[in-house]
Amino acid sequence: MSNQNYAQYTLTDFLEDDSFIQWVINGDAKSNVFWQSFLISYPEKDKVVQEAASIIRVYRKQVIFTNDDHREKVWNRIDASIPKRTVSPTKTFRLPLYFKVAASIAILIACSVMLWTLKNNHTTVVTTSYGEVKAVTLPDQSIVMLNGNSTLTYEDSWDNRAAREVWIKGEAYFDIRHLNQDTAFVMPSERFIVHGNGIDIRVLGTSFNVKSRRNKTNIALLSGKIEVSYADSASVPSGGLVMMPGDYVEYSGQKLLIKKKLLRPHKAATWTVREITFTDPSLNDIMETLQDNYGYAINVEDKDMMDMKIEGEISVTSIQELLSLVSTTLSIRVEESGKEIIITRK
Amino acid sequence: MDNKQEQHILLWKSFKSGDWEAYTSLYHAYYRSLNNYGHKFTKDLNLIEDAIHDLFVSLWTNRDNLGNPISVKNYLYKSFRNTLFRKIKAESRFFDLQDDNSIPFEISYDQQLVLDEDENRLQQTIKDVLYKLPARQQEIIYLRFYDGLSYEEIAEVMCIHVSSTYKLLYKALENLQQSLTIVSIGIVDVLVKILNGRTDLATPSASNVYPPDFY
Repeated sequence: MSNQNYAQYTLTDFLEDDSFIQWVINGDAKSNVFWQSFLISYPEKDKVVQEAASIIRVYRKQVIFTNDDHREKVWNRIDASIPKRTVSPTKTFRLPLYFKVAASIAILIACSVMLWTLKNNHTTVVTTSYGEVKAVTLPDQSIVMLNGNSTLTYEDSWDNRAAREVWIKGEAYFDIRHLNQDTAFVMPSERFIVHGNGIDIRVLGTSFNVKSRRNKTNIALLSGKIEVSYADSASVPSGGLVMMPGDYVEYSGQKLLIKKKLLRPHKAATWTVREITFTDPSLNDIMETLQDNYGYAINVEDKDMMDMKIEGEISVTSIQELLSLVSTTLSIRVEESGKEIIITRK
Repeated sequence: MDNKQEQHILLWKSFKSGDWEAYTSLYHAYYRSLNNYGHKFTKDLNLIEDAIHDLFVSLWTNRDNLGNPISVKNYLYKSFRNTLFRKIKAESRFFDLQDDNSIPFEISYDQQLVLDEDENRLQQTIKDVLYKLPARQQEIIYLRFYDGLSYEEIAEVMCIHVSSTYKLLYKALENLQQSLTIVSIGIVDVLVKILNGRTDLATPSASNVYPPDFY
């Protein structure tokens, strides 16, 4: 799959494309990430993509003939048409001695391997350095994009009886595989919980961005539905805050600071395609991102300068571009020397 | 999807070695989709059920001589279609015994299903276009957009060349696109509304909804 080719696609081209159709029909996590990042890179294709998708979706809303009433009847007919199966008589035979010994050794090894794995129920820790973005595939095939200077922790194997759980420090974009079939009854293993900074996020299957830095957590929901609750509160069902697509919340520790609707929710995840974006940021917001994601030290002449604000949207692909934009817009001097940024008045 | 395919390949292998449970599972896994597919060719339940019966009985009887298909779904669709076509032709004097093209293919839309106004209008346009298409083109659209089969898989199921699949689907989509253009004022409104429901884009004017090469 290549972004470049899709940029030239027309409505018919999309309707003829295998991976596009698979995405509309099945919508698994991997293709979600691909198509979302494609639309971020080529926003002008959004309309034609949505058109093609609507045509397929509306086409599929047709009558499904299942004939469930006759399922047993047809099966009984098949069963009756097949000649009686002969059950092979159980034979007893003696195993040679060396075989017995080999078998018991094999069982012994198997047991110790099992014991060893039980004891060492390993957790995987994925860490990114400053400025690095990593894609992580979880045991259930859900996808996590991990931003710079962040850590994601989870257990190696997820069993079917417990909820899927991950721990996040830093910033990550989650595209969770939806496992729940019956909305009236949710199995434990169909739940997915993200733990971060005193906040728990419970989801079924959805995509969202979590940033958990400096004792602050912010969450932007792109699709689906999630519930946010405090880590130490006993897990009372539906006791938390329920977020709908486009919602954005910001917590300081466990205090809700901001709750608003995002105009362009997908902007929250633009960093996954290596784009640096801000909406109405203060100089402080920008510098915090440079510190947290890229490891810069900030040296500012006058603390008050940090409150200066840039109105509107910033979308750049490099730090140099960002710094020169900040410097011209706010008419201040911004110098980069090594891993230090020095801000002075002009 | 991939997991399901792999799982069915495993079932297929166990069934071939004589595993009755695996055979039963295959029946239950495909019972609904075969009925749904068959119902597009004929409304005669007896024919559909007979075809499923014959297909599964012959699978079990010939299990030692069966190969390992790349996709179980493809194999079952193809065999089911052949069996059903033979029955439809035998049943009726109206169908030319040589010509598969005389066998209809009809999808229907539920009147009870609650759609919003916009989806309703888009659906109406799709219906208007589809119902005018030759049966085999409708079948390709179904296998493609409903079952998600690739060109190669469709060619195999329908016993035609891959290049014909491309051509037939292209014709069908061209027809669809032309009709969308004819009713463009209406459909553009519909699409724009549907889009705005999903995205936060500003409402585009009707003239720039389609890319320039659309017209």
